Amino acid sequence: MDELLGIITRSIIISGTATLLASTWSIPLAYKLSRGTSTGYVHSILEALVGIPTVLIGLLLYMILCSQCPLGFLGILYTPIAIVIGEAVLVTPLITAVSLYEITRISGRYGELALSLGASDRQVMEVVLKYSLPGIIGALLMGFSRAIGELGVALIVGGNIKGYTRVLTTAIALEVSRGEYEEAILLGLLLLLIVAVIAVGLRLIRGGKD
Amino acid sequence: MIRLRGVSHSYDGRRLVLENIDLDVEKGDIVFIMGPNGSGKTTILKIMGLLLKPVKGRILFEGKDYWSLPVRERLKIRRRVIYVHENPLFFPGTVVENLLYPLYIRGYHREKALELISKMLRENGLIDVMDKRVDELSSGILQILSILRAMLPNPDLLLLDEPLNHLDLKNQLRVIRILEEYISAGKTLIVSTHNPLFPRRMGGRIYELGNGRLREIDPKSLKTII
Repeated sequence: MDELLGIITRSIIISGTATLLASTWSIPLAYKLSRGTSTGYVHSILEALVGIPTVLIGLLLYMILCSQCPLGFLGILYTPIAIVIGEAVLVTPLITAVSLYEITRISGRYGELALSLGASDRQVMEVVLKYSLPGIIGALLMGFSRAIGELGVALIVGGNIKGYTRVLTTAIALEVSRGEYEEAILLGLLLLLIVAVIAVGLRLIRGGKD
Repeated sequence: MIRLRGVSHSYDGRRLVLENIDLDVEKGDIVFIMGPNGSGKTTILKIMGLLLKPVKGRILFEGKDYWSLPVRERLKIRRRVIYVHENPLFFPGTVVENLLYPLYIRGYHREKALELISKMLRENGLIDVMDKRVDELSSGILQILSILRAMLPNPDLLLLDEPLNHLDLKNQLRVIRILEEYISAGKTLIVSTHNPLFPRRMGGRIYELGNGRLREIDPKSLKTII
Protein backbone atom coordinates (compact mmCIF):
# COMPACT_ATOMS: atom_id res chain seq x y z
CA MET A 1 0.00 0.00 0.00
CA ASP A 2 2.82 2.39 0.95
CA GLU A 3 4.54 1.61 -2.32
CA LEU A 4 1.34 2.29 -4.26
CA LEU A 5 0.85 5.63 -2.51
CA GLY A 6 4.49 6.44 -3.20
CA ILE A 7 4.06 5.70 -6.91
CA ILE A 8 0.92 7.85 -7.15
CA THR A 9 2.48 10.76 -5.24
CA ARG A 10 5.70 10.54 -7.25
CA SER A 11 3.78 10.46 -10.53
CA ILE A 12 1.78 13.56 -9.60
CA ILE A 13 4.83 15.47 -8.33
CA ILE A 14 7.03 14.61 -11.33
CA SER A 15 4.34 15.36 -13.93
CA GLY A 16 3.17 18.47 -12.05
CA THR A 17 6.74 19.80 -11.83
CA ALA A 18 7.31 19.03 -15.53
CA THR A 19 4.10 20.89 -16.45
CA LEU A 20 5.02 23.92 -14.35
CA LEU A 21 8.56 23.90 -15.76
CA ALA A 22 7.21 23.74 -19.32
CA SER A 23 4.77 26.58 -18.56
CA THR A 24 7.67 28.92 -17.71
CA TRP A 25 8.71 28.96 -21.36
CA SER A 26 5.57 27.76 -23.17
CA ILE A 27 3.26 30.59 -22.06
CA PRO A 28 5.73 33.44 -22.80
CA LEU A 29 6.50 31.70 -26.11
CA ALA A 30 2.78 31.48 -26.94
CA TYR A 31 2.34 35.18 -26.14
CA LYS A 32 5.37 36.12 -28.24
CA LEU A 33 4.15 33.98 -31.15
CA SER A 34 0.67 35.52 -30.91
CA ARG A 35 2.18 38.96 -31.65
CA GLY A 36 3.59 37.68 -34.95
CA THR A 37 1.78 37.62 -38.26
CA SER A 38 2.19 33.96 -39.23
CA THR A 39 0.39 32.18 -36.37
CA GLY A 40 -1.30 29.83 -38.87
CA TYR A 41 2.03 28.21 -39.82
CA VAL A 42 3.17 28.16 -36.20
CA HIS A 43 -0.06 26.39 -35.16
CA SER A 44 0.54 23.72 -37.80
CA ILE A 45 4.13 23.11 -36.69
CA LEU A 46 3.15 22.95 -33.01
CA GLU A 47 0.25 20.59 -33.72
CA ALA A 48 2.66 18.30 -35.59
CA LEU A 49 5.06 18.35 -32.62
CA VAL A 50 2.25 17.51 -30.17
CA GLY A 51 2.20 13.98 -31.56
CA ILE A 52 5.95 13.38 -31.28
CA PRO A 53 6.55 9.85 -29.89
CA THR A 54 7.56 9.85 -26.22
CA VAL A 55 10.15 7.13 -26.82
CA LEU A 56 11.89 9.39 -29.31
CA ILE A 57 12.17 12.17 -26.72
CA GLY A 58 13.33 9.59 -24.17
CA LEU A 59 15.98 8.30 -26.57
CA LEU A 60 17.24 11.77 -27.51
CA LEU A 61 17.43 12.77 -23.86
CA TYR A 62 19.27 9.53 -23.04
CA MET A 63 21.84 10.35 -25.76
CA ILE A 64 22.46 13.69 -24.04
CA LEU A 65 22.44 12.51 -20.40
CA CYS A 66 24.23 9.12 -20.44
CA SER A 67 27.63 8.95 -18.71
CA GLN A 68 29.65 9.28 -21.95
CA CYS A 69 27.28 11.90 -23.37
CA PRO A 70 27.61 15.73 -23.53
CA LEU A 71 25.66 16.35 -20.29
CA GLY A 72 26.65 13.07 -18.62
CA PHE A 73 28.70 15.00 -16.02
CA LEU A 74 25.43 16.25 -14.48
CA GLY A 75 24.70 12.72 -13.27
CA ILE A 76 20.94 13.09 -13.56
CA LEU A 77 20.19 10.05 -15.74
CA TYR A 78 17.86 7.63 -13.92
CA THR A 79 16.69 10.33 -11.52
CA PRO A 80 13.29 12.04 -11.22
CA ILE A 81 14.98 15.21 -12.59
CA ALA A 82 15.61 13.47 -15.92
CA ILE A 83 11.93 12.46 -16.15
CA VAL A 84 10.84 16.03 -15.28
CA ILE A 85 13.05 17.45 -18.05
CA GLY A 86 11.87 14.87 -20.58
CA GLU A 87 8.20 15.35 -19.77
CA ALA A 88 8.62 19.15 -19.82
CA VAL A 89 10.03 18.87 -23.36
CA LEU A 90 7.21 16.49 -24.28
CA VAL A 91 4.37 18.78 -23.15
CA THR A 92 5.89 22.02 -24.46
CA PRO A 93 4.26 21.85 -27.94
CA LEU A 94 0.86 20.97 -26.42
CA ILE A 95 0.86 23.76 -23.81
CA THR A 96 2.22 26.27 -26.33
CA ALA A 97 -0.30 25.31 -29.05
CA VAL A 98 -3.36 25.46 -26.77
CA SER A 99 -2.17 28.68 -25.06
CA LEU A 100 -1.37 30.24 -28.43
CA TYR A 101 -4.87 29.46 -29.72
CA GLU A 102 -6.45 30.98 -26.61
CA ILE A 103 -4.17 34.05 -26.47
CA THR A 104 -4.67 34.73 -30.19
CA ARG A 105 -8.45 34.54 -29.73
CA ILE A 106 -8.40 36.90 -26.75
CA SER A 107 -5.86 39.27 -28.37
CA GLY A 108 -8.10 39.77 -31.39
CA ARG A 109 -10.90 40.90 -29.13
CA TYR A 110 -9.80 42.34 -25.80
CA GLY A 111 -6.17 43.02 -26.74
CA GLU A 112 -7.19 45.16 -29.68
CA LEU A 113 -9.85 46.88 -27.57
CA ALA A 114 -7.24 47.80 -24.95
CA LEU A 115 -4.88 49.00 -27.69
CA SER A 116 -7.59 51.10 -29.35
CA LEU A 117 -8.25 52.80 -26.01
CA GLY A 118 -4.58 53.76 -25.61
CA ALA A 119 -3.10 50.91 -23.56
CA SER A 120 0.67 50.41 -23.55
CA ASP A 121 2.16 47.08 -24.68
CA ARG A 122 2.43 45.99 -21.03
CA GLN A 123 -1.19 46.98 -20.31
CA VAL A 124 -2.33 45.07 -23.41
CA MET A 125 -0.41 42.01 -22.18
CA GLU A 126 -2.09 42.28 -18.76
CA VAL A 127 -5.52 42.34 -20.39
CA VAL A 128 -4.76 39.45 -22.74
CA LEU A 129 -3.32 37.24 -20.00
CA LYS A 130 -6.16 38.08 -17.61
CA TYR A 131 -8.85 36.99 -20.06
CA SER A 132 -6.79 34.06 -21.43
CA LEU A 133 -6.19 32.64 -17.95
CA PRO A 134 -8.98 30.00 -17.99
CA GLY A 135 -7.70 28.77 -21.37
CA ILE A 136 -4.09 28.75 -20.16
CA ILE A 137 -5.06 26.75 -17.05
CA GLY A 138 -6.85 24.36 -19.41
CA ALA A 139 -3.65 24.06 -21.45
CA LEU A 140 -1.67 23.25 -18.28
CA LEU A 141 -4.17 20.57 -17.25
CA MET A 142 -3.94 19.03 -20.73
CA GLY A 143 -0.14 19.12 -20.44
CA PHE A 144 -0.26 17.44 -17.03
CA SER A 145 -2.61 14.80 -18.37
CA ARG A 146 -0.23 14.06 -21.27
CA ALA A 147 2.80 13.97 -18.93
CA ILE A 148 1.32 11.62 -16.34
CA GLY A 149 0.14 9.21 -19.03
CA GLU A 150 3.41 8.94 -20.96
CA LEU A 151 5.70 5.92 -20.70
CA GLY A 152 8.66 6.35 -23.09
CA VAL A 153 10.49 9.15 -21.27
CA ALA A 154 9.87 7.77 -17.77
CA LEU A 155 11.13 4.32 -18.78
CA ILE A 156 14.21 5.35 -20.80
CA VAL A 157 15.61 8.19 -18.68
CA GLY A 158 13.95 7.26 -15.36
CA GLY A 159 14.87 3.59 -15.37
CA ASN A 160 11.81 2.51 -13.31
CA ILE A 161 13.83 2.29 -10.07
CA LYS A 162 11.65 1.10 -7.19
CA GLY A 163 10.91 3.82 -4.66
CA TYR A 164 12.82 6.42 -6.70
CA THR A 165 11.79 6.80 -10.35
CA ARG A 166 8.93 4.32 -10.57
CA VAL A 167 5.76 6.08 -11.71
CA LEU A 168 2.29 4.80 -12.63
CA THR A 169 3.00 4.07 -16.30
CA THR A 170 6.34 2.34 -15.71
CA ALA A 171 4.81 0.33 -12.84
CA ILE A 172 2.01 -0.81 -15.19
CA ALA A 173 4.59 -1.86 -17.81
CA LEU A 174 6.53 -3.77 -15.16
CA GLU A 175 3.46 -5.62 -13.82
CA VAL A 176 2.44 -6.61 -17.37
CA SER A 177 5.94 -7.94 -18.06
CA ARG A 178 5.70 -9.98 -14.86
CA GLY A 179 2.29 -11.34 -15.83
CA GLU A 180 0.66 -9.58 -12.84
CA TYR A 181 -2.34 -8.36 -14.79
CA GLU A 182 -4.55 -7.60 -11.76
CA GLU A 183 -1.94 -5.22 -10.36
CA ALA A 184 -1.50 -3.67 -13.78
CA ILE A 185 -5.24 -3.13 -14.18
CA LEU A 186 -5.50 -1.57 -10.71
CA LEU A 187 -2.69 0.87 -11.53
CA GLY A 188 -4.29 1.55 -14.91
CA LEU A 189 -7.60 2.40 -13.24
CA LEU A 190 -5.84 4.79 -10.87
CA LEU A 191 -4.18 6.49 -13.82
CA LEU A 192 -7.54 6.68 -15.56
CA LEU A 193 -9.09 8.23 -12.44
CA ILE A 194 -6.42 10.96 -12.32
CA VAL A 195 -6.90 11.74 -16.04
CA ALA A 196 -10.72 11.71 -15.60
CA VAL A 197 -10.49 14.21 -12.71
CA ILE A 198 -8.41 16.46 -14.97
CA ALA A 199 -10.96 16.11 -17.78
CA VAL A 200 -13.75 17.15 -15.41
CA GLY A 201 -11.63 20.11 -14.28
CA LEU A 202 -11.12 21.11 -17.91
CA ARG A 203 -14.83 20.89 -18.58
CA LEU A 204 -15.60 23.06 -15.55
CA ILE A 205 -13.08 25.68 -16.74
CA ARG A 206 -14.53 25.60 -20.26
CA GLY A 207 -18.06 25.85 -18.86
CA GLY A 208 -17.09 28.82 -16.73
CA LYS A 209 -15.53 30.52 -19.74
CA ASP A 210 -18.61 30.06 -21.95
CA MET B 1 -2.65 66.48 -37.85
CA ILE B 2 -2.37 63.12 -39.57
CA ARG B 3 -1.15 62.42 -43.08
CA LEU B 4 -1.01 59.23 -45.09
CA ARG B 5 1.72 59.08 -47.70
CA GLY B 6 1.74 56.31 -50.29
CA VAL B 7 -0.06 53.92 -47.96
CA SER B 8 -0.77 50.42 -49.27
CA HIS B 9 -2.00 47.44 -47.29
CA SER B 10 -2.60 43.78 -47.88
CA TYR B 11 -3.59 41.05 -45.43
CA ASP B 12 -2.49 38.09 -47.53
CA GLY B 13 0.49 39.56 -49.38
CA ARG B 14 -1.34 39.34 -52.71
CA ARG B 15 -4.52 41.41 -52.91
CA LEU B 16 -4.07 45.08 -52.01
CA VAL B 17 -6.91 46.35 -49.82
CA LEU B 18 -5.45 49.87 -50.00
CA GLU B 19 -3.22 51.07 -52.80
CA ASN B 20 -0.93 54.07 -52.67
CA ILE B 21 -3.21 56.30 -50.62
CA ASP B 22 -2.43 59.92 -49.76
CA LEU B 23 -4.65 61.77 -47.33
CA ASP B 24 -4.24 64.93 -45.25
CA VAL B 25 -6.38 65.48 -42.16
CA GLU B 26 -5.87 68.74 -40.29
CA LYS B 27 -6.78 69.58 -36.69
CA GLY B 28 -10.51 70.27 -36.41
CA ASP B 29 -11.38 68.45 -39.66
CA ILE B 30 -14.34 66.17 -40.10
CA VAL B 31 -13.65 63.45 -42.64
CA PHE B 32 -16.12 60.84 -43.83
CA ILE B 33 -15.04 57.68 -45.60
CA MET B 34 -17.73 55.93 -47.57
CA GLY B 35 -17.72 52.91 -49.80
CA PRO B 36 -19.19 49.45 -50.24
CA ASN B 37 -18.67 46.60 -47.77
CA GLY B 38 -15.18 45.11 -48.02
CA SER B 39 -13.75 48.21 -49.66
CA GLY B 40 -11.18 48.71 -46.88
CA LYS B 41 -12.89 51.35 -44.72
CA THR B 42 -12.07 49.55 -41.47
CA THR B 43 -8.49 48.97 -42.64
CA ILE B 44 -7.85 52.64 -43.41
CA LEU B 45 -9.45 53.65 -40.09
CA LYS B 46 -7.27 51.19 -38.15
CA ILE B 47 -4.20 52.50 -39.98
CA MET B 48 -5.09 56.10 -39.10
CA GLY B 49 -6.02 54.92 -35.59
CA LEU B 50 -2.40 53.70 -35.32
CA LEU B 51 -3.52 50.14 -34.61
CA LEU B 52 -2.34 48.66 -37.89
CA LYS B 53 0.99 49.20 -39.60
CA PRO B 54 0.57 49.39 -43.36
CA VAL B 55 2.78 47.15 -45.49
CA LYS B 56 3.91 50.22 -47.41
CA GLY B 57 3.86 53.98 -46.92
CA ARG B 58 4.16 56.40 -44.03
CA ILE B 59 1.82 57.77 -41.38
CA LEU B 60 2.83 61.28 -40.38
CA PHE B 61 1.36 62.45 -37.08
CA GLU B 62 1.99 66.18 -36.61
CA GLY B 63 4.85 65.78 -39.07
CA LYS B 64 6.49 62.80 -37.33
CA ASP B 65 6.76 59.44 -39.08
CA TYR B 66 4.76 57.45 -36.49
CA TRP B 67 6.09 53.94 -37.15
CA SER B 68 9.72 55.17 -37.10
CA LEU B 69 9.37 56.64 -33.60
CA PRO B 70 10.60 54.90 -30.42
CA VAL B 71 7.92 52.89 -28.54
CA ARG B 72 7.57 55.50 -25.79
CA GLU B 73 7.00 58.31 -28.30
CA ARG B 74 4.48 56.20 -30.16
CA LEU B 75 2.54 55.53 -26.93
CA LYS B 76 2.34 59.27 -26.21
CA ILE B 77 0.79 59.84 -29.63
CA ARG B 78 -1.48 56.79 -29.45
CA ARG B 79 -2.94 58.07 -26.18
CA ARG B 80 -4.24 61.09 -28.13
CA VAL B 81 -6.03 58.92 -30.68
CA ILE B 82 -8.96 56.57 -30.08
CA TYR B 83 -10.54 54.17 -32.54
CA VAL B 84 -14.07 52.84 -31.92
CA HIS B 85 -14.90 49.44 -33.42
CA GLU B 86 -17.88 48.91 -35.69
CA ASN B 87 -19.39 46.30 -33.36
CA PRO B 88 -19.05 47.79 -29.88
CA LEU B 89 -16.49 45.85 -27.85
CA PHE B 90 -16.51 45.72 -24.07
CA PHE B 91 -14.62 43.82 -21.41
CA PRO B 92 -16.79 41.42 -19.41
CA GLY B 93 -18.12 43.36 -16.40
CA THR B 94 -20.12 46.46 -15.62
CA VAL B 95 -20.47 49.70 -17.56
CA VAL B 96 -18.51 51.65 -14.97
CA GLU B 97 -15.63 49.14 -15.04
CA ASN B 98 -15.46 49.51 -18.82
CA LEU B 99 -15.63 53.30 -18.72
CA LEU B 100 -12.90 53.40 -16.08
CA TYR B 101 -10.44 51.53 -18.30
CA PRO B 102 -9.29 54.33 -20.68
CA LEU B 103 -8.88 56.63 -17.67
CA TYR B 104 -7.15 54.00 -15.54
CA ILE B 105 -4.49 53.33 -18.20
CA ARG B 106 -3.82 57.07 -18.37
CA GLY B 107 -3.20 57.21 -14.63
CA TYR B 108 -6.38 58.98 -13.49
CA HIS B 109 -7.27 58.67 -9.79
CA ARG B 110 -10.33 56.50 -9.26
CA GLU B 111 -12.38 59.27 -7.60
CA LYS B 112 -11.64 61.74 -10.37
CA ALA B 113 -12.40 59.11 -13.02
CA LEU B 114 -15.70 58.16 -11.38
CA GLU B 115 -16.64 61.82 -11.20
CA LEU B 116 -16.00 62.25 -14.95
CA ILE B 117 -17.94 59.08 -15.77
CA SER B 118 -20.96 60.06 -13.63
CA LYS B 119 -21.01 63.53 -15.19
CA MET B 120 -20.86 62.17 -18.73
CA LEU B 121 -23.52 59.50 -18.13
CA ARG B 122 -25.82 62.00 -16.40
CA GLU B 123 -25.47 64.51 -19.25
CA ASN B 124 -26.41 61.79 -21.72
CA GLY B 125 -29.30 60.34 -19.74
CA LEU B 126 -27.50 57.06 -19.08
CA ILE B 127 -26.71 57.30 -15.36
CA ASP B 128 -29.11 54.37 -14.68
CA VAL B 129 -26.92 51.92 -16.59
CA MET B 130 -23.71 52.82 -14.73
CA ASP B 131 -23.65 49.71 -12.54
CA LYS B 132 -25.30 47.33 -15.00
CA ARG B 133 -23.40 44.50 -16.64
CA VAL B 134 -22.66 45.21 -20.30
CA ASP B 135 -24.20 41.88 -21.38
CA GLU B 136 -27.58 43.09 -20.05
CA LEU B 137 -27.69 46.11 -22.37
CA SER B 138 -29.05 46.55 -25.90
CA SER B 139 -26.67 46.94 -28.85
CA GLY B 140 -27.88 50.53 -29.33
CA ILE B 141 -26.99 51.55 -25.77
CA LEU B 142 -23.64 49.74 -26.10
CA GLN B 143 -22.91 51.65 -29.31
CA ILE B 144 -23.51 54.98 -27.55
CA LEU B 145 -21.51 53.86 -24.51
CA SER B 146 -18.56 52.83 -26.70
CA ILE B 147 -18.49 56.34 -28.21
CA LEU B 148 -18.79 57.98 -24.79
CA ARG B 149 -16.01 55.74 -23.45
CA ALA B 150 -13.77 56.85 -26.31
CA MET B 151 -14.49 60.52 -25.55
CA LEU B 152 -13.86 60.27 -21.80
CA PRO B 153 -10.06 60.78 -21.99
CA ASN B 154 -10.70 63.69 -24.39
CA PRO B 155 -8.66 62.42 -27.39
CA ASP B 156 -7.49 64.86 -30.07
CA LEU B 157 -8.42 62.45 -32.85
CA LEU B 158 -11.45 60.17 -32.77
CA LEU B 159 -12.03 57.50 -35.40
CA LEU B 160 -15.44 55.90 -35.57
CA ASP B 161 -16.18 52.81 -37.65
CA GLU B 162 -19.84 52.82 -38.74
CA PRO B 163 -20.98 54.50 -35.50
CA LEU B 164 -24.66 54.73 -36.44
CA ASN B 165 -25.05 50.96 -36.85
CA HIS B 166 -27.42 49.37 -34.32
CA LEU B 167 -29.09 52.75 -33.70
CA ASP B 168 -32.64 53.93 -34.36
CA LEU B 169 -33.14 57.44 -35.74
CA LYS B 170 -33.53 59.00 -32.28
CA ASN B 171 -30.26 57.54 -31.10
CA GLN B 172 -28.54 58.38 -34.40
CA LEU B 173 -29.37 62.04 -33.76
CA ARG B 174 -28.21 61.63 -30.16
CA VAL B 175 -24.79 60.39 -31.36
CA ILE B 176 -24.55 63.19 -33.90
CA ARG B 177 -25.22 65.74 -31.13
CA ILE B 178 -22.51 64.15 -28.95
CA LEU B 179 -20.05 64.36 -31.86
CA GLU B 180 -21.01 67.94 -32.71
CA GLU B 181 -20.10 68.89 -29.17
CA TYR B 182 -16.78 67.04 -29.52
CA ILE B 183 -15.99 68.82 -32.79
CA SER B 184 -16.93 72.22 -31.35
CA ALA B 185 -13.95 71.85 -28.98
CA GLY B 186 -11.60 71.89 -32.01
CA LYS B 187 -11.10 68.14 -32.11
CA THR B 188 -10.65 65.98 -35.21
CA LEU B 189 -13.10 63.34 -36.35
CA ILE B 190 -12.77 60.60 -38.96
CA VAL B 191 -15.81 58.44 -39.61
CA SER B 192 -16.61 55.53 -41.89
CA THR B 193 -20.30 55.32 -42.67
CA HIS B 194 -22.97 54.23 -45.10
CA ASN B 195 -25.42 56.71 -43.61
CA PRO B 196 -25.94 59.92 -45.62
CA LEU B 197 -27.52 61.56 -42.57
CA PHE B 198 -24.10 61.89 -41.03
CA PRO B 199 -22.23 64.02 -43.60
CA ARG B 200 -25.37 65.95 -44.49
CA ARG B 201 -25.88 66.96 -40.89
CA MET B 202 -22.26 67.48 -39.86
CA GLY B 203 -20.57 68.72 -43.03
CA GLY B 204 -16.90 67.95 -43.57
CA ARG B 205 -15.03 66.29 -46.40
CA ILE B 206 -16.27 63.07 -47.96
CA TYR B 207 -14.10 60.39 -49.53
CA GLU B 208 -15.12 57.29 -51.39
CA LEU B 209 -13.01 54.15 -51.08
CA GLY B 210 -13.18 51.62 -53.90
CA ASN B 211 -10.72 49.21 -55.52
CA GLY B 212 -8.15 50.22 -52.94
CA ARG B 213 -8.23 53.86 -54.04
CA LEU B 214 -9.49 56.91 -52.18
CA ARG B 215 -11.10 59.82 -53.99
CA GLU B 216 -12.73 62.94 -52.64
CA ILE B 217 -16.31 63.37 -53.73
CA ASP B 218 -18.71 66.25 -53.93
CA PRO B 219 -21.28 66.07 -51.10
CA LYS B 220 -23.96 66.74 -53.73
CA SER B 221 -23.16 63.42 -55.40
CA LEU B 222 -23.77 61.48 -52.18
CA LYS B 223 -26.96 59.84 -53.41
CA THR B 224 -25.17 58.13 -56.27
CA ILE B 225 -22.81 56.15 -54.07
CA ILE B 226 -25.18 55.14 -51.27
